[in-house]
Amino acid sequence: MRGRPAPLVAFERPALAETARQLWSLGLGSLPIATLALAFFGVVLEKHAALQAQRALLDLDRIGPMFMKLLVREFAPIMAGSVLAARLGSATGAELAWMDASEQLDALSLYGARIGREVYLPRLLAGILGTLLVGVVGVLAASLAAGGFAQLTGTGRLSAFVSPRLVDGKDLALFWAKLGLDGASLPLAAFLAARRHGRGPRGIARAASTAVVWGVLCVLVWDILLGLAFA
Amino acid sequence: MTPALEIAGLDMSFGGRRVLDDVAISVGFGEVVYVIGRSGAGKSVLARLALGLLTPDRGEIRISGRPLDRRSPGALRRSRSGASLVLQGAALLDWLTLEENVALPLRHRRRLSRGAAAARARELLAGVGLAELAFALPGRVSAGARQRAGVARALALEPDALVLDEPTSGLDPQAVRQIDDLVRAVARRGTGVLVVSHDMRSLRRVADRLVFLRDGRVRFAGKLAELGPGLDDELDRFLAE
Amino acid sequence: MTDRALVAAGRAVGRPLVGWLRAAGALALLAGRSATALGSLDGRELARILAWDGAQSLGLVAITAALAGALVVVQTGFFIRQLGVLGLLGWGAGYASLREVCPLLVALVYAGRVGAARAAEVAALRAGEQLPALEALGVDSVRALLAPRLWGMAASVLLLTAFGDVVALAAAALAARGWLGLPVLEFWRSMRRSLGPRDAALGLEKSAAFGLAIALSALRAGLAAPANGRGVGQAARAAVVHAIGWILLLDVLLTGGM
Repeated sequence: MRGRPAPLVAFERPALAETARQLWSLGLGSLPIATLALAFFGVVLEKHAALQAQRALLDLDRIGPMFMKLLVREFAPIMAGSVLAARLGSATGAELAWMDASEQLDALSLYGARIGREVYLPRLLAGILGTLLVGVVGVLAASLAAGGFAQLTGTGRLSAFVSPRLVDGKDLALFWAKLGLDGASLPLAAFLAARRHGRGPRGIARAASTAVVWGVLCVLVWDILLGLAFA
Repeated sequence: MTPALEIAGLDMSFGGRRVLDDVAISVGFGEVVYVIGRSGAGKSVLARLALGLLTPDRGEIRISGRPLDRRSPGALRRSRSGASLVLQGAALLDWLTLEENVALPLRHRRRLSRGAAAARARELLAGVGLAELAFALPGRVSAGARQRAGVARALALEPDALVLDEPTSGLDPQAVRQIDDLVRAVARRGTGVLVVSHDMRSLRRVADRLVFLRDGRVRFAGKLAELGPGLDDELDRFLAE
Repeated sequence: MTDRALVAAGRAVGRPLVGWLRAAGALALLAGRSATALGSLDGRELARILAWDGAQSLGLVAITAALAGALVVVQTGFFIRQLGVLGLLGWGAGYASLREVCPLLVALVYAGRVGAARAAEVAALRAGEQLPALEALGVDSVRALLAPRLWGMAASVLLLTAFGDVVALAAAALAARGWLGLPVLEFWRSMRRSLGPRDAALGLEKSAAFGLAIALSALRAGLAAPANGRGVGQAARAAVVHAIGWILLLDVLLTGGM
């Protein structure tokens, strides 16, 4: 991989079986931790909201529908992106660096396989689809957790938090755009990190951690740029 | 007289495979004993067992007559304080200078101050011919120098018994000779030295006695002079080297 | 048949449970031994860790915090503009940055960069037999190597978050000026009116807990991975994933205590 040009994968047809396998291991594999993360984050947000509502003597049930809008526009994409940057980024970065170090990539191309089609593109597609999936499940998890928590602690009603009343088309467009770009950036960041660090056990570890850091930065940058574009 | 290191009735298995079978070795003070055998004969396992880094299925290890006490990490540390081990490649910490590496056991075991530990470390390094490399990082010196620094670190605690795992593996002939001389010098000071190796040239130069392992069992133990052809076909091949 | 099903169910629940309990026990042991080593910490090793992990992450934390500050303004700005209460922006952005976004993002980035690298280092020390070699010399590797790493990492997360807070607030003020035309002084006043040192302190309290969680996850992952080349990569990944799990759980628990 080292010394070869950057992976130009967008115009190849992906190997479907490998895409499915990646989607299974990365997308679905990340689902439990990402769901848990967003559920936790939903509770944290509810607590902050309750704290501020109490201060301003507001009714939390009136904030509830706003909560879903905030979640769709802002919090779900950034939390899903950050958690996937860690889970998917580190796994893909380490895996590709390991494949490079153990000369599996060289062996693949020696046997005439197209690395873009067999290795990169499936991971890219799995990244995008997996992120979209995690985002959707995350919104549900966070709003259910927040609403459930509000109901349990008596600060608000569950139904107010899971109401999509205020979510409009623009919010949804922003949601899909952020998740899609995050999902594409994370595998690409991992490819580049693996290319840069490869070789040796420490190289593999550095590839994994660089992939995470670059992934988180990509997520933040997309979030700001799209937030401004959709403001 | 109590031996410096005594291994008795040692059994060890990994995943159902017997690696060591009723192994007994004794190393007297000031004596150099070589353990030889093919790769996979259980030599390196033996070196780690001797210092309690692994726990045997059965058998006992005594250092200067005191049995290894495995009841807790602290008890183990105390009971093996009379012995040191130099692993293959010396296993120095690569972000510390040679001097800091040698000073480490002095500061953490002997509780010497930083200055006193550093001064003693420089003496020890000078003793193995590395005075001028005291401030070099392990990655910047030759494999032979790393190995000698490893011996200096092991000698820092003035052990009764020193175990060396493949000390000359991968070294050039000059570095091998330096290590051999060092092993002899350590033994002259009264330390019992157990060397695990397959380097026959070093063995002939340095060893007082040798122990030959095959399939985890001791097939020969005795002085070099007692060796002759026909004891074991594999040993014959070793001797022919 | 029911017996067999019961046994199978018991196994399905018991195995992971035992695994979790063992991991928790190992973590507690490591934390306890590191805490007892706190009094006699190797100062030079600690300084080395702080310099490497703290100082070398400064640039990355600055970028992350600046992005976080801008992000908070973009996120709250949308709603604040809709509601027409521009004067609340300083409060909203400051509150979110200090209490939530800054501690969380600094911890996430630190876990990815330093936590993973330290886990890999510990795994590599085991693969290269440096740790067993020290143990064979009677040197307590927790006291000599692991405790300085643990406290160094925990302290650098705290210091980096404090630094990140400053950068994030400055970036938020500039973003509010650039994007919404809110004068910096106005932003500052709005922040001062409703926020106090308590808000920063609560955020830093969180980051202290996050730092410990990252450090413990990293060391534990390094010690638990197989002692070979592949284990090094595995340790790095496990460290990141576990740290994130702990960070989010602690975030929930600590937000509750506010």
